[in-house]
Amino acid sequence: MGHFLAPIMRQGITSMHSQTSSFSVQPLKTRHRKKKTLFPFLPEQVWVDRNIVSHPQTIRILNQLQDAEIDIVDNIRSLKTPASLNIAKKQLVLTEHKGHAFKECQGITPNHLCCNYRTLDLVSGCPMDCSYCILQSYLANNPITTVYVNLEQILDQVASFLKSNKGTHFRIGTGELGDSLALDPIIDYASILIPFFAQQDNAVLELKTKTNFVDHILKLRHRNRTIIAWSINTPDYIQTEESHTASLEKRIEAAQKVIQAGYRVAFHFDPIFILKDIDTEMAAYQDVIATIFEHIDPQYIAWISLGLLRYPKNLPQIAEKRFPNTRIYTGELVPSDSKVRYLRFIREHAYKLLWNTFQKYITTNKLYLCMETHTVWQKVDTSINSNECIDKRLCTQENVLFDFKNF
Amino acid sequence: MLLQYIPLKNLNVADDSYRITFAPELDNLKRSIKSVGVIQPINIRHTAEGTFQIVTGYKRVLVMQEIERQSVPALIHEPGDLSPTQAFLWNLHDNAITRSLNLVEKSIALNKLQQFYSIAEDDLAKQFLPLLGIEPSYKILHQLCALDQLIEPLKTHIVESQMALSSAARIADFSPTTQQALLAVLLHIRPSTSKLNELLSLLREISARDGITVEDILSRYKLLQVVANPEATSGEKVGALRQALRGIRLPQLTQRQKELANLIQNLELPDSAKVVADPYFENNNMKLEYRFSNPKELDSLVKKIQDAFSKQKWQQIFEWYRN
Repeated sequence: MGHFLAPIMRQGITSMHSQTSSFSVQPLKTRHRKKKTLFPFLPEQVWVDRNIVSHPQTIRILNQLQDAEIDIVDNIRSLKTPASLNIAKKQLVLTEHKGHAFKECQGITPNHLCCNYRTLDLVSGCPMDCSYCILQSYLANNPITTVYVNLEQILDQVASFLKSNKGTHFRIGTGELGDSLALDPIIDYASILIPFFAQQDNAVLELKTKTNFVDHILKLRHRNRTIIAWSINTPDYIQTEESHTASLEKRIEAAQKVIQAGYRVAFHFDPIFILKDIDTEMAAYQDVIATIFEHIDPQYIAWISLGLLRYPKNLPQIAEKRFPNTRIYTGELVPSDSKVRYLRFIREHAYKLLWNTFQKYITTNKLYLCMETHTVWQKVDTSINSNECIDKRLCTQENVLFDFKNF
Repeated sequence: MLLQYIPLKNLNVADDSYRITFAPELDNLKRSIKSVGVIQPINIRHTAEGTFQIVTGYKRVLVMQEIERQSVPALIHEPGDLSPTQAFLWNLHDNAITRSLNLVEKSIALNKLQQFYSIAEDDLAKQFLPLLGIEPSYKILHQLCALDQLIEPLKTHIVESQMALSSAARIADFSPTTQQALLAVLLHIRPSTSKLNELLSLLREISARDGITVEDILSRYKLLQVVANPEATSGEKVGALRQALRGIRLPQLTQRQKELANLIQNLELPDSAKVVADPYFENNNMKLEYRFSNPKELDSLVKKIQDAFSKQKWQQIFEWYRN
């Protein structure tokens, strides 16, 4: 495979450290048990779609994978077949996205308020291994982690869309079908995406991750158009349910680093688990909230979302075979629409406890519930009664219409 | 190959190398043999050690032993004429094409093919499942193979109660001690497949959530007593067990359902009126169903509804929902 090892050319991306922050990094107290280090993902097998063998991104990515077995595949669809996820997670497919990679968040349902988020599918699948991950079900027939190399083409679609909707502001995320940064040690897409969004005036990019892979983005020119977000859970649940992810301390340390590089951050308390009684469980999440605000100045937080565990009905059947010791599916969850959710009374109680805690640290204008019903929203925050309300709350002057005089 | 009458005492009946038969029904065969004798000779294999293994005809041998005959007509195969794999396939085909195998027999066949005759999983699914009258499916193959983990009394119960594969495979996932405890419950009830699967799921989930064994659950909540009630029918026992387990598994939901049922009862509507609410309380839409055949019956309902309104009982229900 020698021809893949040709010297690489960076794709015309100039990294510029455009902003500094006065917020200083506070060392984290080591108050939680240590978690094993996340090793950057190195696939054992790479499948390359023959159609994109000579694509510059393909060559660039393959140059990072000199120890992997590489095979060129004529019909990439032949790999889209149910397979053991444990094996599939050790492999990587490089291909092109032929459909709509840029679209409205797929979580939108008529019965739930949604935040009008848009998603950008550049990767499908994840090398990390969370017991609750819906991709286990969603990608059951296409389980190998896939990277779409026609990034420039996809970004052209985004640029064209944003240009034709100049009056509207959008929040766009890449973390729908995979972690936004987990593959970056190999693909380094953030170094292309962040400068791209720096040029857009009516959108922010959210890179959502459970890793601490941020060093490569610290010096990029971002113009505050990128928000780095972390999924958050309690140290115990990170330890037991989120294999190969960074610990809570590492995530907070990474957040401190990007804040110092001028980025704003976001936190997603999602999924929140309730296995014991609600008050005990929420106390653990309240400790996490306190820890975050001990180390992160709220002014650098763009938004925080809350979402209790919910999943497609067939997920436990799949996940319990892969994670026989998990207890997360034994909570008091009941069928609701196409998913299974905690009983409404439980959700309302849990959200109210956490919402009240957050109010001690941050304005509620930065808080939202992910995919919740109107009824539940009314128990937590009566000012939210439509999708537009959430969108408006999050697309504030501060978050989207950033004032450039700060640069 | 040699056809001769061979003394039963010369057969190594304990050698089950090629046997798949489990819990055989022998009455008809016994009547037949008593009446006309053994029509088809059995096939036996002469081993290098000088013993005779039964290849086909295990049930005939059992009957002949039971009715105290001394010998049986047999086709004797020398080791070089019939390999162990061929011998097993003869037995399998002899049984599979002449009768319907029970679940345990199918499991024995597939496990032996895999473990002793090194048949690949792919071939088991594609070639051997159809031979057993089953569509090729890895899920079914895995479920059948898992039945190997069942304790013997449960295997017998599964055959006798004609339990569905999905339920039997779920039971096989439990430890032998738990299987023993489950058997004590199952001997009292005959649930439908869906009900049994639900009961097993509830037990598994409670066990995982609370970190206790199924035996502990059965004992702590006195569930064996629930199903051992001699006054109740099987259906009533299953209903009582399901209700008890759901109460343990979903305590808040069960409590809420009880509260709502009480509030609805307080409305004192006519018996043929039914208030239907979302069982999971996700929304507060309710439906009132009422059957009537004349204006008087309808008038009675309207009065009852109005009466409940005037006593704030409807408001109580909606207030309860809001809180």
